[in-house]
Amino acid sequence: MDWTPLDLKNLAALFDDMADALLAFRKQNGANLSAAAKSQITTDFGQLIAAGESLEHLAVAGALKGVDSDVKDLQSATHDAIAALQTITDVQKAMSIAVAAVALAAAIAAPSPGTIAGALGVLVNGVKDAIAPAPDPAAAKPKTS
Amino acid sequence: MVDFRPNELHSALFRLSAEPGPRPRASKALIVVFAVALAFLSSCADLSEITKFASSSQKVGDTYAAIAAEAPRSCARANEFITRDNPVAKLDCDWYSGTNPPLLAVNKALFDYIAGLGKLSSADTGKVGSGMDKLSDDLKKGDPNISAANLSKATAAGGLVKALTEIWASGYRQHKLADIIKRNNDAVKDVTDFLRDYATDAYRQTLKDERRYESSFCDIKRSPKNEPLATYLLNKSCDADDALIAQKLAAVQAYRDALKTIQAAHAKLAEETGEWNVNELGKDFGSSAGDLAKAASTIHKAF
Repeated sequence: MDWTPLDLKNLAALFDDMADALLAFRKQNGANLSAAAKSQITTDFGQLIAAGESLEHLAVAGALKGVDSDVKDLQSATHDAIAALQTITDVQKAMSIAVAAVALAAAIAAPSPGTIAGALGVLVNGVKDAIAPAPDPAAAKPKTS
Repeated sequence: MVDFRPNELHSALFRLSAEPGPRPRASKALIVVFAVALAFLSSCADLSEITKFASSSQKVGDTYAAIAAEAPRSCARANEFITRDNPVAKLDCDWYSGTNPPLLAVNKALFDYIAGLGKLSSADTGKVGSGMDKLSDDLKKGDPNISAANLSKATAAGGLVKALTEIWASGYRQHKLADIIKRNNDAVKDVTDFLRDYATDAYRQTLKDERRYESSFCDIKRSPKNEPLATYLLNKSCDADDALIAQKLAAVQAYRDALKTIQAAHAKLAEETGEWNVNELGKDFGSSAGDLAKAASTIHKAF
């Protein structure tokens, strides 16, 4: 029979309760117990706790396997969020070129060498900004715990 | 927070409408587009509450490493109470050296994800198209004699480009957030359940075992045969340790409760994607952020 992580946890809780009951019994009846009986109860108490811990560990290991795909989904979603931020930055760059082109169009509509030269300068700067290397992607990474 | 400045749009509209002479057809088209942009703008949600929530969650998530590091230490302390008089079984503390790294990785995946949402919700879209702000200056620099009418036309057209870009960026941001949150709600639920019911519960169990091993040890040592001073000092030490473990257990519980809060808040966002309302988000997350801040403070004090 395969035990699910939940089964193992429930079993661990039973051991845990038994250990509590045994310790409480020893404390309440300490005066009437022989040294040997006390020692035996203490040993049993420890065995129950250790068994409970082992079951708890098995439950964690089983459940850990179960969340593997969920963890991968969250990691992928984190990349999506960072990619979305990058998209906004890329559009920002593209729009700075568009804005410069608008200025150039306005300058051509009212031609004078100075206006066209100035607007062209804006366009050139916009293109330069857009092709500049992207900032360090690590800077966009979310804070890790 | 969405970084639109409706006043700028209004003033651009004003500039266009106040221009002397017959209004060109293009300007009318600009006014219509501005009006549409303003209407769209009012439908965009304020995402600052998501940013605050992500930030509060992150503070809790950062405390996980301290809790995880305490568990094997607690286990080692528990084993120190194994004596001839207190013959309890030795606990397996090595388990944590193999298991803590993947547990930390699961916690990291969850809080990286939440941090990603926080960054996306707080992206400064006001910077998008910011090159437009300098357009007027640049044109004047190029031709100091440029007419006011031409300058106004160029600025208004550029302003439209900027406004539309900002609106696009905000809408895109909200759309992406809604999509990511909706698609990953099940994963957030599973991972928070795992961290609460299994990972942190194992830490809680180990702390509890340390407490019981020490309780058993103290009970055995409290023999009437021992001298009173020794008994007094033993009781004092046992009580102090017990209070310390109780504080740590409360901190672990605070972490577990915080995971529940995070799960509930994420589920609420997933349920209402596309209909996020500033007031509702503020109400829902205001108390959640408070709970999370309290949890982070409790955990910091204990570990």
